[in-house]
Amino acid sequence: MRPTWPLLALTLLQGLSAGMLCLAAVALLAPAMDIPRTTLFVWQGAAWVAGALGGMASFFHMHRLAAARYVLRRLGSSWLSREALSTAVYMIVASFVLLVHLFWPRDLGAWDAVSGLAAVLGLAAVYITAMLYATIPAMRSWHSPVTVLVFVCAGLLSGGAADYALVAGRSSDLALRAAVMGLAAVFGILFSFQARLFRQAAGGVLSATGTGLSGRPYRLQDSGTSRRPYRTQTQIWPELPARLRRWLYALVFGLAVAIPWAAAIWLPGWAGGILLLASVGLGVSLSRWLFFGDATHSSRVWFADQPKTPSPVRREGKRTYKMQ
Amino acid sequence: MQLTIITDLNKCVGCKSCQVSCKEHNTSGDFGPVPDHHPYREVDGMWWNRVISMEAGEYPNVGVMYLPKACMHCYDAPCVPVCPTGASYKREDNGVVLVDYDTCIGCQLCMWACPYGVREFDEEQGVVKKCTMCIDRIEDETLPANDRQPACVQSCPTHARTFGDLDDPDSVVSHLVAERQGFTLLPELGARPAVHYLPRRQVTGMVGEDEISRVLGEDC
Amino acid sequence: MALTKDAEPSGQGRQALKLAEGTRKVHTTCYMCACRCGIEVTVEDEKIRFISGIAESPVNKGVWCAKGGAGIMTQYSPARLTTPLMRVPGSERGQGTLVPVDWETALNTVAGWLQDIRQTDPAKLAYFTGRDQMQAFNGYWARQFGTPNWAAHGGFCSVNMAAAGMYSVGGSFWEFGWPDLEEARWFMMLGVAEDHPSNPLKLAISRLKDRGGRFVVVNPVRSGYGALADEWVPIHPGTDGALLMAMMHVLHQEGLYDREFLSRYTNAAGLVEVAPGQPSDGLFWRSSGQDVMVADERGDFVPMMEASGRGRLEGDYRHEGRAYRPAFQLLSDRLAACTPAWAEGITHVPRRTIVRLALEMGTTAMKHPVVLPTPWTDFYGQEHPQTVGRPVAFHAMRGLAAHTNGFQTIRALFDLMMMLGTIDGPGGFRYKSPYPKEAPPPVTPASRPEDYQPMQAVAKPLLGYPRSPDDLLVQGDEPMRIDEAYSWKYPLAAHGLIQNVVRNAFDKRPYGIDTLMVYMSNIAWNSSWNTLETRDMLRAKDDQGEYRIPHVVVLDAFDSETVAFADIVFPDTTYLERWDAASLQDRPISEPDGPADSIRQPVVAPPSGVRPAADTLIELANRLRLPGFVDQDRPRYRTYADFIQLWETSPGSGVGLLAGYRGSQGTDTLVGAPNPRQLEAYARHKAFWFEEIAPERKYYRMANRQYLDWAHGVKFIPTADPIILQFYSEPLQTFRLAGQGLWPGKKPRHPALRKRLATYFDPLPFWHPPLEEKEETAGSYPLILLTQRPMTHYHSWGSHNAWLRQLLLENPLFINPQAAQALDLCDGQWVWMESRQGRMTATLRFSDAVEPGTVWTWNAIAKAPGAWGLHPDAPESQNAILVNHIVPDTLTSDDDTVTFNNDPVTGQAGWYDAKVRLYPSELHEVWPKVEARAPVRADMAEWKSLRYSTRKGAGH
Ligand SMILES: Nc1nc2c(c(=O)[nH]1)N[C@H]1C(S)=C(S)[C@@H](COP(=O)(O)OP(=O)(O)OC[C@H]3O[C@@H](n4cnc5c(=O)[nH]c(N)nc54)[C@H](O)[C@@H]3O)O[C@H]1N2
Ligand SMILES: Nc1nc2c(c(=O)[nH]1)N[C@H]1C(S)=C(S)[C@@H](COP(=O)(O)OP(=O)(O)OC[C@H]3O[C@@H](n4cnc5c(=O)[nH]c(N)nc54)[C@H](O)[C@@H]3O)O[C@H]1N2
Ligand code: SF4
Ligand code: SF4
Ligand code: SF4
Ligand code: SF4
Ligand code: SF4
Ligand SMILES: [Mo]
Repeated sequence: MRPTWPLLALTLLQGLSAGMLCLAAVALLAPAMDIPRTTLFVWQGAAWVAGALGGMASFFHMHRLAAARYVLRRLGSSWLSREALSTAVYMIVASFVLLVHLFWPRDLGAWDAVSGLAAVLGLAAVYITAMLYATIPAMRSWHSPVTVLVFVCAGLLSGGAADYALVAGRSSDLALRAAVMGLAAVFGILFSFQARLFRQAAGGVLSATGTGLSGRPYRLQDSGTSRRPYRTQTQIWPELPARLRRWLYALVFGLAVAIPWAAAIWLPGWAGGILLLASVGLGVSLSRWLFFGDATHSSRVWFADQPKTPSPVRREGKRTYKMQ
Repeated sequence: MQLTIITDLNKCVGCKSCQVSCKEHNTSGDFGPVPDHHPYREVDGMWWNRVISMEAGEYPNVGVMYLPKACMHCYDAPCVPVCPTGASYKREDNGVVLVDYDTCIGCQLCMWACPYGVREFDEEQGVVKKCTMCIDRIEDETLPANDRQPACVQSCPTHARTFGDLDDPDSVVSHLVAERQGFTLLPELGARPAVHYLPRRQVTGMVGEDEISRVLGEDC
Repeated sequence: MALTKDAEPSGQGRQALKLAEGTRKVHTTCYMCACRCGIEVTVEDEKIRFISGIAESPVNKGVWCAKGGAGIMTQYSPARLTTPLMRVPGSERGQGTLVPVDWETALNTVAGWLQDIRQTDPAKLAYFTGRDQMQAFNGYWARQFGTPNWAAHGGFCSVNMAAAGMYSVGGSFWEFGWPDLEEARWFMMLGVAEDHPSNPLKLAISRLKDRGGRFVVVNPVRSGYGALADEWVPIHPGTDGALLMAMMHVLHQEGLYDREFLSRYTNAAGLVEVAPGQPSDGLFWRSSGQDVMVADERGDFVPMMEASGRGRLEGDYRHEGRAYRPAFQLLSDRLAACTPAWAEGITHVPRRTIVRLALEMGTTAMKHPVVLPTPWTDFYGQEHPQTVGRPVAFHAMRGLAAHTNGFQTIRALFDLMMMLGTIDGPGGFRYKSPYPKEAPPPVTPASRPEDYQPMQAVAKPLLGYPRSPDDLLVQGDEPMRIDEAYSWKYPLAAHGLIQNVVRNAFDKRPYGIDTLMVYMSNIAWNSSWNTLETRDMLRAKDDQGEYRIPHVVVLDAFDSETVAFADIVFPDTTYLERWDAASLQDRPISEPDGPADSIRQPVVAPPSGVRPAADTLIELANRLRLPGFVDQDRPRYRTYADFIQLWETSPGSGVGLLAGYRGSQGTDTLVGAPNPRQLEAYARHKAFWFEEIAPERKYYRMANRQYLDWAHGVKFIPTADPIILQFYSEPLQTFRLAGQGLWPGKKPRHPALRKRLATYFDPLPFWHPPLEEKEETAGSYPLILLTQRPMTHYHSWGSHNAWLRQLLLENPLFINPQAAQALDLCDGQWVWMESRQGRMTATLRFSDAVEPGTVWTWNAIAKAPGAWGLHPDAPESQNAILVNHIVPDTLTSDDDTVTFNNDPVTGQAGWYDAKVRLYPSELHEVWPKVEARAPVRADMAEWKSLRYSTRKGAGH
């Protein structure tokens, strides 16, 4: 599928925003983390900005704003309707969080309450967004609970990294650092599950096409219309060369797991914080790009041009033939 | 009622008449245009029906097959429930799945949801388009009877395509599906396509191996 | 180059057109290929909006193909020529430096050249036409001009198929005859990818499939129709003759052939004199009435007609000291050596397959006849209470024809069909009206030098079927025609030899010409072989700096590669803008059930600077006062529409281009006075005319007394005499005798020419390797290179069509993976493909659906950069390959003149004999490339999007 920038921006920023708010809420409700309230507020403000940018990006993914008013019509069945609703509600509550902090008496605990609520809604929004992808059987690579776990974890990780960067100059909070390192590790594990899922999906599509043609697998022989990607078929996106894919996987691990760990362990202070954030940001973004760009849709097999790799028609050994 | 098109793969020669007649009709039909980008350069255009060619097997035991692929007008069309605006809908009276361009926001979620890759996106108009079962032809009472069938069915030079109501057990399409082991594509994805294909039927020869050996004067 | 704004559906961006008040539906005949289907064109707001098939049309019965529907985009092509063009004086030919000129200048210039030629030596005009559907008119025009040098495209197309059929059964496949798949139970198709009757063949195969008939495809490649085959027989190219001979061997051995048919309706029982070294050797013993003599069952020698089909097929006979053998005996003798094992070594088809298929066809024919309740009477006067047919049908086309052994291969096919008795019976091969004709048809070309004199029309047709060497156009050993048709090298060149023209004109052999006029043929590209050299020859100059071909005139509708080589271009209309006739006088659109013809009518008006090519030719004829066109200096016809309605084959013959609605009332058919309102009548009747032949005249027409009488009455045939099928072709033997120096009339002097005749003019079919195999280097080029026609493209016409080009815009070289692996080549790799002509690059694509000794690609997809109105970066010029560059045009010659890579009998171009070798290429791009030029309409070439809609309906 074509990884368009609004999709990347929306999903990444939404996750970032929810992740930051979640950690803020945890810090707020579990004072063991010992993070100054003003810092928490900065986190929340940043989360709001990220969320707002993500929300704006989503408008660019809609191609006909004139019809945007119909977008909640299918709440009963469409995860996209639900996403629109949940993201909107989340942003409203996130705004409240800021307003309450500024204008509401502190001791009433209202701030703590809305912060908690916003975090839950943020998680819900990420969950719903992920469900949108995970519930499409035709997207062979996405159709799995792993998608949801990856989305949630990626949100928390990027949120954690951002929070960490925002405090790294001043604080050396072990809990936060441990949390970020833990999230990076979990993300690494989930990402490998996802990578496995993607490979299975790419191989599995051939299996049950039901054409009745004997002797699968088969070779598509079209030129002309089978040249992909089609501009008008956004779900068809060329398969990555296997070598490049391996490099990209390694890069994701390096950026989202290895470098953050190294930075967290050996490089305290602002420099470490910023390195960690940049690295996590790039790693998670790259993984999201791969999520879209490397996904296998069940229809891809129908359109794939003959790959410039050895024939998929397997054969046992070489056979010679008579040339006159 | 569930309208459908049955393609007999025992007759399809891959001529792409159905592909072009679809474009031809719909380009200026009620659901057009069906645009082309860079028409005289590295062209890339929208097609609601694409004919795929494939081969399988090892020389000389190799099969070649053509498969026209347009919207399957699924019973459980996955493209419909995912659509946030209700622009994608399945008509209750005849099972045709359509897109209302006025309410479509162009989010393309339906394109991912469709297992068959038959929905195409018109960037300029910002909406998703696809096979309409030529609803504007089949329901246009001003047309002569012969023209009130999908363009791709009417044009097919081998009469490989048959149009009809799959819910009517007495219809030609129902009979074809029942008698000729009609099958659907990617059944495991659960969309329950209405569009069916009929498999190859091989007519074998009647000469025995021993007969051949006798003629050649060889031992079998 | 010329620009116009007339011809576009919309420019960039969206421009919805409103539904016009008056939507029109106009009936006409498609011309997106040579099939000529009836189409209904919907016009809204003077724009073509929808094209569909006419249900009543006898050709396509309501269906239409991809090309037909895409006619809309041809109408609005970026390559449209919109004014006459002239090469900028002083600029070089071939660069496409053409500027618009007015019609008067263009006409005057060309008329001036032609006038000079006509007054001095009319042969200095060479007029050749390609995918032309008005050959009757064009031939007539050239005849009135007085040049021998006219022909259509048959020489590079399929004259082998036409000629072998005409000399065998007075008909052929293609537009002359047809497999009856309504009744056939067993159908074998050899060497067909798409063929001319595109939709009819698909409809017919569909019927066969409905009825559960068995379908066998013999082809090195499995694709298209082959995909549907119940059995695919991958054969090594150029070897079908051996396969067919071996099948005949099996049928003969097993007695699975129709003896009665052979002796009644063919000359297989005819007694052939066996007298080696004598002038009568191999000729029939004839009665005083010129009837062929046979030995009847009592062993008496009687004329065939008297024997009423009881002539013996076997035996050795002597009479008055002369030895005779029935023709069938001669073939039987030959078949003895043609065993399945022999054929297996040549064809790579397993012997068991050969035997099996032969047994299948023989058993089906002999043991499972179809019986129709229709009575008929044969020419012996015998009444048949029923029509009994042998339901085994064949179809073949260029896979057999486009080899230099194609003539004899197709002869073998027809003899096989005669053995099975499957000529014009139900379920077999069926003629299309006006065929059958005598085999060969009784038309010979004007062959005397006196026939071609200044200021004089030629009294006889320019093309025909020589019956003996005396009909050839030779003076001594020298050809009389620029294309060497009817010369000793290519004697039965019944369609002319367009592929020889450019080189001969360049070589000035047999003489230099002044003007080359080309209509509808892309000779500077996809219909030439050795293309690059051909292009050089078109622009070559002599020592004085003059072009060796002084003038090139092109009549074309689009900016093809050839247009760039013109000095003057006359822009033609599209097929949706002109009157036309698909005539019985030309290439019939008839069906087996009866004669049919059709018209084209202007559906929309042409751009103002454009005129129908035929009108241009008539205008030139009138200016030149060509005899058949002017009557006491007054033009008889102003336009082609006049010509279609008023012209007659000879004054008062009552036969003209169109057979329907003749006579002053429009009530006569086939024969009747010209009707000046005939075209209107056609337009009212959905643009076609069809008449069904009465049931008792429908079958076995060569032998059907009632049919023959009727056909004579409607002037299909000059006499009602029986048409005897030529199992043994005596005319061929006369050429062989000439080669042996035994023919009393014309004979060649050069030993190489004599040897050619003696070798290849065998009156009975035989297989010999394609001539390419005799080249010294043949062994170094192990693979055969073929092309196939894509169903979506008609030669070069598909690429300027925005829709069709999306279906195919680049063409890989398909290769069997086993063959590739033996060469260590992999899928997708760039390779050099080298023939003895030269080398080019290609990308490989693996396919198991091709025989390992063959590589193939699609025909005519590649384009010269900038031609056809396409952007010079278009994939057609960047990624597509034109194999014509390396198809050799000549063979190593045995005499001192050029020998073209043609069949030695008919001169058919041997496209599919090209041999190549492959090896990895360091160059990863298409090579060779020709120079780019600017597209006719740069603005259209740059269009970002093409979108239009006529209606604002529910969807918006
Ligand atoms: N769509 C479309 N239709 C066309 C045309 C077109 O360009 N496009 N062109 C028209 C014209 S001008 C013509 S002449 C006809 C030609 O019609 P076809 O004869 O169908 O044309 P080709 O594509 O030359 O097909 C030749 C076939 O013969 C096979 N072949 C090659 N060599 C051999 C051999 O030695 N033995 C056997 N058994 N098979 C062999 C090739 O693999 C190929 O399948 O088509 C006409 N119809
Ligand atoms: N390698 C290879 N080469 C081949 C063949 C092959 O099988 N393989 N096949 C050969 C055969 S069988 C044939 S018949 C030839 C065909 O080759 P050509 O006879 O050259 O046919 P086209 O390429 O169709 O070119 C015909 C020309 O007609 C023009 N034209 C189209 N419509 C109109 C019109 O309405 N009016 C006028 N005036 N002009 C028009 C086009 O612009 C084009 O320039 O190719 C031969 N070349
Ligand atoms: S038109 Fe008919 S034969 Fe041609 S590709 Fe379509 S279904 Fe197949
Ligand atoms: S693109 Fe249009 S039709 Fe498709 S899901 Fe979105 S709103 Fe619905
Ligand atoms: S084929 Fe695709 S677009 Fe058509 S109904 Fe089924 S899911 Fe929807
Ligand atoms: S039914 Fe109509 S819209 Fe659908 S594929 Fe056929 S022609 Fe196209
Ligand atoms: S087969 Fe040829 S004539 Fe018939 S519709 Fe197609 S392009 Fe036109
Ligand atoms: Mo041809």
